[in-house]
Amino acid sequence: MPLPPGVAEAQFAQALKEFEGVVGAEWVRASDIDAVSYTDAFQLVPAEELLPAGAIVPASAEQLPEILRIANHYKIPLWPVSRGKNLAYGGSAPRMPGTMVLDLIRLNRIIEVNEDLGYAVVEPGVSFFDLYDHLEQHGIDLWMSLPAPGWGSVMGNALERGVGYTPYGDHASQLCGMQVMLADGTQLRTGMGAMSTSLSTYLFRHGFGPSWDGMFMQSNLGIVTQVGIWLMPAPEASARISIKVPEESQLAEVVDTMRPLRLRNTIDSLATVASPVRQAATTSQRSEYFTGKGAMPRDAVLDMIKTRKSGWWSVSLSVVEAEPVVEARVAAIEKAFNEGVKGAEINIRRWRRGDPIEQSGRPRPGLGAFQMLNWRGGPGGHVDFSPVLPPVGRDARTLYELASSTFFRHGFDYFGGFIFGQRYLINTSVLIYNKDDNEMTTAARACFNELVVEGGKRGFGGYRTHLAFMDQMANQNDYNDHALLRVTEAVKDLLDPNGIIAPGKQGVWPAAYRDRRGT
Amino acid sequence: MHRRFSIAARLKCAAGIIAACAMALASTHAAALDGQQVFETTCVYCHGPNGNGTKMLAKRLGEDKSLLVQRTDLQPAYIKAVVRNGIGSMPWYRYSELPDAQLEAVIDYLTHR
Repeated sequence: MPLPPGVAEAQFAQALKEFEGVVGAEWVRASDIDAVSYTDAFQLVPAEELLPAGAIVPASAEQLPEILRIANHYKIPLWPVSRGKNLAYGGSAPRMPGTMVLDLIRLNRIIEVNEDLGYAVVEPGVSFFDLYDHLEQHGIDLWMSLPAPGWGSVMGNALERGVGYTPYGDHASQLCGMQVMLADGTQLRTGMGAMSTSLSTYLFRHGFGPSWDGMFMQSNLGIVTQVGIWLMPAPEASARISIKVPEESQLAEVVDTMRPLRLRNTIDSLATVASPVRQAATTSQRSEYFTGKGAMPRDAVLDMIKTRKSGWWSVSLSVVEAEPVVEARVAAIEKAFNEGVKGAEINIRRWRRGDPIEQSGRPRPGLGAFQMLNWRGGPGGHVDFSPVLPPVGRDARTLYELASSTFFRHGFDYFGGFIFGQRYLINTSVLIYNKDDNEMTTAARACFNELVVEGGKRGFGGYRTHLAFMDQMANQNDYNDHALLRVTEAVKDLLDPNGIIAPGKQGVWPAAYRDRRGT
Repeated sequence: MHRRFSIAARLKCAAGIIAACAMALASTHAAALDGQQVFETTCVYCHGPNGNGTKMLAKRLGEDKSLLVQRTDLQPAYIKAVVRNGIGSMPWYRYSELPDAQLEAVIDYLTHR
């Protein structure tokens, strides 16, 4: 396994011994097989490019200051992960080979759930399954917002700005009150939590003075060990709405119809607009519709749509509130689609308290999303081009035409769509590949690279990306000679002079490893 | 620290050559841990009825071999290799997610019922 850069084998062995003294020998995982288990499970790039030196798995936040002291002393870089499930973005792998993964999965306490005030306080190792089960077992009348797979970390997903599909679906925006450890072992609390007697740590995000919460999201400035996250009081009623839109050319109509509904909060949850392959891949495989090489031709896609009786686009959204409010919103949504999107077929599933909960819009964690990995056959992986754009029809069309045509040229079926926020769209263009097919993974990287470059020229910047593209995406933040990145790196050098926390994350490199940018 | 394996052998396993890294397991029953409980909190999301793993196994091996809890042909070394290396679209489980004692309890549950 690679050693940390500039660290001799004897020094590394001594550091491991000292780490073992803190967490116990069982929880320093430095065998080859352990190190490989922390590489990117989706194998977009050769494993050697993202290979850690091993992993340290502490049992509590109290062990972190000593781990950080040892890491600073021996110059061992650490890559904190919550549960290591940031799949499609690199999973648990570090950006720089030879980094030690700091695996926080054993910090798994649900410290508090406050039903009256609608929040939970959790550690990094708490999964969506864990929190869901806790709410169920204790009969707590709060709903969670969930990403597609449920085995990831509630905290980690929010820090990486993951999304779900409820009014609380912008997960980073639900964070309130963080406990963070800096590279020198200093522990701080953000927001109102900075006052040790505060009664409002998990209620008022801004606190007094500059707000630092954002500094610790998608960040290597500190290690977040605990967060407050808001949960939604269970509503009286909900409606789940799915809308089939017949023609590919109607994307702009859909977006322009939905924009005012989102801006006015008539649609109060993050909504999705999905392409045909995205719809099909949740329940079937490509070979059921097309067995040729390269991307599915348009005729095959049209045949697939006919077979599945789907639309070209599928819009999914939910509305939750008191029943009369839900009904009023549903009526407004129906009217808008009937008037704005020709041929739209609207299906509504209503739920009110007392009905079986399965009929409601309450998200339930699962792993069903992984079915899509089987789309190409063979062991599947995916990487997601995820640019942000205005919720304007012509912009959505421009992005879609760029992404779908680029996918087609590189031999990929267009699996994608749009997440509809209140004032933004996030496009997710998902490249599904067979991990064992080198030609396909090479093509996926080339396609992704082209999309970043061409998307950037058109003003589409990413909100999140795989490790392999972090430098490229950070470099797109070029305003005033990359002023934002320069300031972030200046702060990084002040807080972490040895550069031991997550070097290279999101393209932010500490002075000690800055020459590795782009490598 | 733990026994070292070559990265090449590890990756070969990940490519599906399970036998290359199959290791003999102690056949002792993991009485200290409840394998069924571990299965139901870790594996069942994909390998329960209607789970993705169950559906894929039905496609690959037939309905009668799709549910792991109904299988009688699973070998301990095979289960261990699949869990630690992944197979098909199933990602691997690293030690911190499923320590050896828990894995062996699951293996015991699936092979000694």
